[in-house]
Amino acid sequence: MLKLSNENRIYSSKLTYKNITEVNSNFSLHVNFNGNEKFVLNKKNLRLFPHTFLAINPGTLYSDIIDSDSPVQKLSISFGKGFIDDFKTSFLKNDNSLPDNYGNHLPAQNLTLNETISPLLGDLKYNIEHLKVLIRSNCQDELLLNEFLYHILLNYYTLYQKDILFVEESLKNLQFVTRKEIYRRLSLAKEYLYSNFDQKINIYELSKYSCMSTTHLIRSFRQAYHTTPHQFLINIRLEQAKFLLKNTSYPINKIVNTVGLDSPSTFIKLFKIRYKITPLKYRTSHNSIN
Amino acid sequence: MYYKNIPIWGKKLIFYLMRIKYVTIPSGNIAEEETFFVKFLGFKRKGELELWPNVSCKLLSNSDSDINIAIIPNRYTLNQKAIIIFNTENCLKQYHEITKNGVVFNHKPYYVSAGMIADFTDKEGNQFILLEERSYIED
Repeated sequence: MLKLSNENRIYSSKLTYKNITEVNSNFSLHVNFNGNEKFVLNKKNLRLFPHTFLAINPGTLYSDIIDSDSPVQKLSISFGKGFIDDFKTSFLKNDNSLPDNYGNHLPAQNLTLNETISPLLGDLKYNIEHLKVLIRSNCQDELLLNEFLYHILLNYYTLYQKDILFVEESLKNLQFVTRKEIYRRLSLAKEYLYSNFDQKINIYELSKYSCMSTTHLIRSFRQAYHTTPHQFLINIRLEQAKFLLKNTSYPINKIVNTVGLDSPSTFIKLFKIRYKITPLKYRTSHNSIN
Repeated sequence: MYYKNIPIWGKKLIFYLMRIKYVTIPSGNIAEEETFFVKFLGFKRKGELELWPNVSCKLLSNSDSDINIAIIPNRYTLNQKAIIIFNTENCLKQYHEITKNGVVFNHKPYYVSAGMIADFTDKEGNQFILLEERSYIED
């Protein structure tokens, strides 16, 4: 663990077993780069897979459990309260001059952070990968580490804001309070899908988890994200399959089972439609690069 | 705007991980300049690169080189003599190392559609851009 003088902390580990339960003291982000990890968060059972990350708010009682045959490599960042406060202040100041604030400025509003699983994308993914390399090289330069932590927080918040704005735009005919509540419930639905994509998912279980009726869930999901929960689930499965094709030598059958799809032929068909390449060609092209 | 006191040992470190990938050509008429390179010099169009917020440069290359020509609008070069674009694998780290060596950047690193950018200007008014290209389309 790397503890910085401003109370930011970075934990990098490679473990086969872990079982801790504690109250989260600061806002934190958890990423795992291989394998899977279980979290119990406010009685919710979540599983974190590669390509996704989990945000946990301060004050939340959580358990972090790893029980795996092969080591699970993970990175956790805990942001000190003062650091978060400075981050909030930097957004609340009314300075729109470009390009100092280009990409670094977001609408002035109270900063709220969403405690859920999200996909690891774009600049957040790049900056976390860079931070991982720095930590591995035993970097102790606090200024540099804090620079990365600032950008990671910024990237996280930007992704979160984009998601909210996208849903708000899609549901603009609804009242603000209703929109906010639907967004919360749809976030639960997405969280369930990210956490259980490798299982047989029942729409009734999903709607129960997200506190909506089946019809309401499907209608709202489609309205907000322009896709159905089922299609969203297929996309998660295909993304995970792509990760496994690129990073493991698992045979297709094993990948199909691991990501919760029915049969290799369905997988190949879906993969080809989505990425315009067959799974084997995709794997070969990446093997030749690596 | 430019560097303070750079220690001798620092100079080597600054340029260690950077390589020139784009050569900039300022032009008042981008389309005409592009046509000149394509029709008369045999260059191929390679797309666009956003180097400043909402300002795209046209990219051209000839097949046997990984150095590209970036045609940039004239108005961005009024106060500069040359614009040199260095590619880097880690813009924030490079920015940090160069700053530590005494160089003052024009802006903090920021995001454009091509990736992450930071830039500084030397005493003569030449501009140096650090560009970390990032792909936002999942491969």
